[in-house]
Amino acid sequence: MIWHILGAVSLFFNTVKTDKIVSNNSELILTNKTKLVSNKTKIATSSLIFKNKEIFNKLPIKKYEKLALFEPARDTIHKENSSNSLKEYREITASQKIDIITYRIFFNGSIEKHIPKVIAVGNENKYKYEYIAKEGKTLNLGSFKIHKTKTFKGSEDEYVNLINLEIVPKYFKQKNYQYHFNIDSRRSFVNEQTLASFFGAMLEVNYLDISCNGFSHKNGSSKPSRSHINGNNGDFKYLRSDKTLECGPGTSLNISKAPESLDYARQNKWNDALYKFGWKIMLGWTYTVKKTTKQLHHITHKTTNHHHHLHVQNYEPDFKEIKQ
Amino acid sequence: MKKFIFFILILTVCSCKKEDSKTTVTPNASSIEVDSIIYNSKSFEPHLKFNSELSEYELIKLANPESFTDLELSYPIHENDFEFDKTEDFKYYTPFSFDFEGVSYELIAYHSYGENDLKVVNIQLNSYLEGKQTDALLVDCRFTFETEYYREFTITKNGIITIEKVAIEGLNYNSAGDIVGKKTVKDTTAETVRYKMSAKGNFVKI
Repeated sequence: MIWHILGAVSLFFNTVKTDKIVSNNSELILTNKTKLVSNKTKIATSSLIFKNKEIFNKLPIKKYEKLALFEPARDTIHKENSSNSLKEYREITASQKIDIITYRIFFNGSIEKHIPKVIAVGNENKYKYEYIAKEGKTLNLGSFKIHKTKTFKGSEDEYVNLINLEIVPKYFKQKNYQYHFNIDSRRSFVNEQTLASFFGAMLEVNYLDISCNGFSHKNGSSKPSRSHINGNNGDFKYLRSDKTLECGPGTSLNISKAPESLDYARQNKWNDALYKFGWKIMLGWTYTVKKTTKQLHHITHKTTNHHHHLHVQNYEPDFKEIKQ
Repeated sequence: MKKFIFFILILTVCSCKKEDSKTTVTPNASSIEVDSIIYNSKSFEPHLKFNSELSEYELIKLANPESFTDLELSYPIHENDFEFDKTEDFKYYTPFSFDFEGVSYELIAYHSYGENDLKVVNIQLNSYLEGKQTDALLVDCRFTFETEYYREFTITKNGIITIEKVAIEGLNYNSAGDIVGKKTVKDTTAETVRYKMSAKGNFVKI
């Protein structure tokens, strides 16, 4: 039941700037006008968000009340100096015994896929994801079922492992590392590598209002689009200055109509993070501030039909596969 | 020898160009007599305005907007290929209505949201028996999301509705799906579906 309530409520998430500090790392905190809802790291999936508008209407929350997630100021994140080198972290993690195929996402943008000699019973169709933070800390992001799918428009014997973003926890927080995202599309499948990059980019910026407008369908296709096949390329809503995370029809920020609502500083950092973790080309729109038209990072020109979303493609991550 | 190599080079370039400009167009649905038409896409043209900057169509010169009821919002529609849902954010207009063999029909036009909240124009034919809706058919759904999609429809006096679904591909993609440029000549594909308006007010695919 709490899942359903959270799902409905997260439809209307608003991140409100405040001086208060989150005492419990994994809680959803409401502003002083509202109530406290907590469910550790389990946040409802977007499909539940879609389906639970009715439940939201029954919640004892008044219209003016807002749900808020607290986002640590950028300066307070990753302040700790690392005592070990990246090489040492790699050696430490590589020596760890694993019984499941594990993706290790390093803070510097590199990604490793570790394949153990023996995979434990029950783990055959699952991949685990870990984030190796700057301080050497390993964050467990979870294990997810993979769907071995014939590569869309690929050769007869070519397959890709797709993962449904709907089953990935929408909220994560451990100390200064956190993310909160929703998937606002039927094209909800990423592939095994792009999921690692998505995690890496989210934990680079620590934002709580990432809205994904879709990757691929379950069979690797992307109709009506043709550019989002096999979980490679994605679409994201532009980030808002008020940091609200919305979901559902008509909730994308149209930066042609409302450029003043674009948080271009955060958007640029998000673009940088997506670039760092693999997507080398982005298509988007320009924004105009004080009569000056500017381009977001990694966007070289205004592309028709991208006034409501950022498109990322040319996925070329710093990737290595390691067999034990 | 030089002339021969130059000739071969020109021939190769021309062959490549020809392949790039491949166009697949199915034959146009009809040679329908103008006086047999009840309503068609051409009749609706004055109500469409294309915004070239945003690559979106606007509905114009339409009066008396109405809000969808909950029932209308969830009513199933034939040929809703992309499964775009109606939304209460947009009202609908009724530019044309007619009766056919005891059944009332209303043509409604409205916007909906597509992928990434792009604005879609929809034209839907509703049928009513004794004031109660009996069926719905999407005769036009036009938007551009990399590919340009639109439909040409014709409702004729013999009770046949012809819908030609057109897709115009103007971009080039590599094997990973990355957009790598624009086509010099766009590829157009089309598929035609036909429905019959039944005496019970249903749209029956033929």
